[in-house]
Amino acid sequence: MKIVAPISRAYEAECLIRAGADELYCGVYTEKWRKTYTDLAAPSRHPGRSASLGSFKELSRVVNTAHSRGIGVSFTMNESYSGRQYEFALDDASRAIDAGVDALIVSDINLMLMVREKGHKTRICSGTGANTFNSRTVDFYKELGVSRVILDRQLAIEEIGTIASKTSGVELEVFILNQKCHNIDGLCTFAHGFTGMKYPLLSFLWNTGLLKRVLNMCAADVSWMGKAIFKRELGCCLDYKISGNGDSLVPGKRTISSPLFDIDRFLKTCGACALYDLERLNIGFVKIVGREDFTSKKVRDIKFIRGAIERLKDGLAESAFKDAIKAMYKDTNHFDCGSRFCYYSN
Amino acid sequence: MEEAIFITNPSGLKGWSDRYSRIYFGNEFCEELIPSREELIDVLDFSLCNGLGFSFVTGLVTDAAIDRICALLACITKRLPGSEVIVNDWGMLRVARSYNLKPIIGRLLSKQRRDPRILDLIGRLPQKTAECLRSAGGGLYSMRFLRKNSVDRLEIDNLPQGIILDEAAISEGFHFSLYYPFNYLTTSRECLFNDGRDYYKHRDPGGCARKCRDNTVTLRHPSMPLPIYMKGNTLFIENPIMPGDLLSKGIDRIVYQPGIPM
Repeated sequence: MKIVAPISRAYEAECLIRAGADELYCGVYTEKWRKTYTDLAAPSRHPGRSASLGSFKELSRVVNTAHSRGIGVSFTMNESYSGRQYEFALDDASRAIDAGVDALIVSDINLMLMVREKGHKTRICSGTGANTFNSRTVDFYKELGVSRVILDRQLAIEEIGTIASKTSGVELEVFILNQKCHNIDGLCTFAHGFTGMKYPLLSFLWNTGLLKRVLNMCAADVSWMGKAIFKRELGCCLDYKISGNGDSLVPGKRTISSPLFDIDRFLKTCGACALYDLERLNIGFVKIVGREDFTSKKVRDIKFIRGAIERLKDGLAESAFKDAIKAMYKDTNHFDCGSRFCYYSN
Repeated sequence: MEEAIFITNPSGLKGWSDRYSRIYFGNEFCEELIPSREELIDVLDFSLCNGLGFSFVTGLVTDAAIDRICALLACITKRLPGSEVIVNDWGMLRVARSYNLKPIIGRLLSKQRRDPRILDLIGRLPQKTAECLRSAGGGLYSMRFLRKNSVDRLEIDNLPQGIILDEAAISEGFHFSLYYPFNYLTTSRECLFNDGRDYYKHRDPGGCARKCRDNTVTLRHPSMPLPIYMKGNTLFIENPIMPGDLLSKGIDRIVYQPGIPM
């Protein structure tokens, strides 16, 4: 089982690979795109500057470092595009291919078809925004020339097992750590990217990353900055006032920020225990989320998942393996894991 | 202009009048709400007796749900051959065709930008950004691909910030259906009406109580120019203002939702 890890700065490549990443994935958010379309129509659903590389030159450096260590790089274009935006998207895909990436992660079938029509032979992975919940959808993407399908993060282990048992000739990838959204990725139409327009100072502080870095050097908890953004930026995190005949059905009543979209849970979700099942289902790739995280967290996350995969080799029984992983989780994060944080709880 | 009424259970037939020449029946958002065979037959028989077109609405589905839907599609093929299947999961495209039913691409695949906050900003955005946020349809290559797969109709929501139909879809001769007045906003597999639990992980032995059928929660926030309605696992907004001159835009069917379609 291989670890697919996020990268958003060229200097991170060496240490992420050393930590145990088997593949890297990243996006590029150029000044040209930003000026033309703004954060509200960004090339991915991560319009924050710290989530993407700033140029294709930087992407080339990532690819060179990765390839020199025998590691592949996938280029993420996981948004749905429209109209004239497709020319921009195809141009970005072409430049990424020129930079030497090994695969494109795409969610939009028009872009998949465009890439093939233009004669590019680069491998295509269907992203989580492509909404794969069943084996027929895997077959659909396979027929479009997709060689790896990233399954939706809201599938249960049994459902992943069914898909794996009914498909062949295509690689399957699942999420293993961080950021389990409450809503289904490819079907959530809440826009990301409002902060820059509505809260420019907050957006500036977030995007420059300076304050985050300074606080991080002092070992301060900087998660409040992310939360401050989320509670303004994301439609699912707002403190709504609730009314109506069904309000008693919704825990929390006055606001839904906690029950609808638990930010702590979002940031800390983990599926490492499920590696036991995923290995038996022949899932080849596990993805760590968090392109915008600090390098230190990315390294920590990779080491944790690498360690968990290594424990699979010990041949432990299921419950012993899961107990061992829970202990590792506590060692890594300094708090207990629980079903609240679990990607694949049963 | 063809007018259709969208119902999610047979009791909705009470809202039918002769202005509607087609019935949409099914659910787009939740596997627990896939109709039973008996419910389907009630609606099929009603369509047959009144000479109405029939469109079976499917949603995002797991393999288990596809098995259940296949049994329903077989029933439709037998009673009302040539009916439509609204496909909201790419995996269902081939399935619908294998039953000789006509696939229509549903609104979950239209990828429109539905966030109500766009309404407040749209006038201040660069033209190209505004175009993206109003667009509906999917680009030339996907339109050609869909044509090859016997699809000639796309379904869209009635965006409050306005709609720009995809030029490629129009030039390829696609028809558009407009859902009215409710737009879906987002959906999840974690149902807050089921004690906030992931419904697919914690199914009650007796199945889902379908509390969403009788209850609606309204969510309001100062940054949202419109109220949001929560029913079960899905959020909706309402836009009662119909865009002008639908036919010249390429929209030739209205799908009227008498209530939030859950």
